[in-house]
Amino acid sequence: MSIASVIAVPFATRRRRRIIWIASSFVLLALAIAGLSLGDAAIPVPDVFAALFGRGEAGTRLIVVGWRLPRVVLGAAIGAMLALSGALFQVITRNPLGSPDILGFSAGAYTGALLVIIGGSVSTVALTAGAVGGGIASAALVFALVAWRGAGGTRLIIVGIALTAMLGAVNTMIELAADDVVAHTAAIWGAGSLNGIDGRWMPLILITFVLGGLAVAALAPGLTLYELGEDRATSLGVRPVRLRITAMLVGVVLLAVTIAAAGPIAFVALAAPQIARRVWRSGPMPFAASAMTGAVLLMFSDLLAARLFAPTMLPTGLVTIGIGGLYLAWMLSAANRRRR
Amino acid sequence: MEILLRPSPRLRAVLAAAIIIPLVLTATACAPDADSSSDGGADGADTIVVDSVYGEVTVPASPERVAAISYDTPWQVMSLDLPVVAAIDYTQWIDGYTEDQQAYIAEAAKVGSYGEVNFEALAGAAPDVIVGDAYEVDEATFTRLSEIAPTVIVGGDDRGDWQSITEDLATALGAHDTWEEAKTSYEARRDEVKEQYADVIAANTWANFSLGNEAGQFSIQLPGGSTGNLIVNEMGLAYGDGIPLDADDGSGYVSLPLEQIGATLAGVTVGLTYENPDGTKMPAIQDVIDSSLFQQLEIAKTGQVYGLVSSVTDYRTAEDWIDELTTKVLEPLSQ
Repeated sequence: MSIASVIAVPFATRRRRRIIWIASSFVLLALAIAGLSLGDAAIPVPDVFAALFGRGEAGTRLIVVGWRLPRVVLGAAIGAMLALSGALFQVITRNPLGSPDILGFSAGAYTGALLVIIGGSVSTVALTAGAVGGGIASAALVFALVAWRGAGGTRLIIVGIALTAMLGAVNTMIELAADDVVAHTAAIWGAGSLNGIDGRWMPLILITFVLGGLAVAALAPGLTLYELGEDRATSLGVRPVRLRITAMLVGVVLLAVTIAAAGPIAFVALAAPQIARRVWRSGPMPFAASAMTGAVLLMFSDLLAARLFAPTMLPTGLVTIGIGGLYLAWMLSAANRRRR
Repeated sequence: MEILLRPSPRLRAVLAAAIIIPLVLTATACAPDADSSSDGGADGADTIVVDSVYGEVTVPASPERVAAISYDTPWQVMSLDLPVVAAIDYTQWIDGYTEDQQAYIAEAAKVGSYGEVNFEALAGAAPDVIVGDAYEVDEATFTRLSEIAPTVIVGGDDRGDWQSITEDLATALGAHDTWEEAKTSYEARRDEVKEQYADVIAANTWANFSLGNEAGQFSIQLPGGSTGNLIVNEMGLAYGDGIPLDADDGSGYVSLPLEQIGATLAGVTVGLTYENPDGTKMPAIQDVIDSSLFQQLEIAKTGQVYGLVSSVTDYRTAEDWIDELTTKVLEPLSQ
């Protein structure tokens, strides 16, 4: 059996997926235009395009290019990165709940970034280093705790939930111990939001997104076989341990960089891969489709966060939690229906 | 959707003005000899350079459209007899403010919530100067605010240092005379009350408590907090021995578990707290007072717990607070 034969799909399915890709691309484009056009200052679409090409009023250019464009572009990239991270961990753990939110990696990355903030730095490099370090440390801790009995199944999820709770308490203690200004900054950032994000994050996020995407593309064939079972994957030439460690590192870096930029945005990593799997009707994990779904999900959530109670702006993470709650309720009810 | 995408001409004009006017003003201010124009034209003399927490800022000498974006800042601008065109959304806490304060911000554009500024809404208000305090505005936010209008962020020595904070604001907004007048009036009143009720002040031990950060906690105003500063440093009211005088977090208060209320308020003979203008107390403060641990305190048994409405942010509200203290607390205690 070759990799090609495992992942080959019938023509009708390929045609259907092509249509979904085109439709989702239009949705993404529509959300981007809405994000650039809608706001407390509503700007007509022609003026948006004029501003993007450096024409029009200075005020309009500042709003469109200076404020909204980074938010839209980074929102799409962060959503895609979160989804890719979630997809990687769901494959590694062979569990739809095996997302970095549930497993404690988000909380760990948050702890790392929080320590950097109370240490007095909010620079891009320091925050990223802190988040990546915290994420890797928490991932290592989770896998170390379950290593002696295997990393699959419910055990990993339970250990992850326990670590998330513990790190949540640690994070609260750190915030309470910090001074007023730092605690306030950390609390707002900790809700996960694109409200304050600006262009300084653009190079880091886009480079990580591209490199992470390439890494996932390279890992995807092996991960597709890995989903069939470790023994079968090994017999087809996959080295499971190396694959798991590499995928975990890529997943943690993708996640941690988003946390450094926007704080912990919940549920996108959990929900996007599963939604993509159902919409694209894919057997193996559809990584590219997950990234597209994550981008759409986060951009939609951010638009709601910015406009629902305007001029008050909700943290984007609050909206994704709401959407994630609906997703979990739907997933549980679907599971119940299947059991009957 | 078509309607949503189409801005009103007025909004477009306001937005353009919001961005372009400050840029022009800044450019004018940065030009050589801008402040010493020899032709006597108004343009050259229309700006001044003031110090702020994040460096020197060039602002209009007589601003007409002030945006106050930190929690206490609108009330501090109010004390300078200047209107504000934008403030954060106070809906959540509006019951705690007087009718005058509510009327003062009624027409102001709402530009986000505490700590979360909506930059576009702020630009739409077309301010010619933005003011706030460093406890809520970090440098990244300051940079973005400065794209909208000249932005002055003040700090003082700590959060409750309303004396320095209001002086810096008055300088930035060209209202130093009004500030000086309020200060003089306040000092006269403070000294008068301190002298008149010296016996009552000396005979009692004081505390200013409030709700805590969480259920099951209470808080104490520190001398670095706005009201604590007034009580301890200005009025010379002696705090109880169990009350902490300092905290590392700069918030101006400390939140403690209710279990510690006995030790913290031991020996305190007069308890001060906050109440709404209608005489009610916030439920979380009432919960502290109703707790069995509080009820065992001397101040609960003697009934010497007083709610004051004035929230101290500047010399005028400080004077209001002293007036309230006089009529609600010092006068009854002196009889």
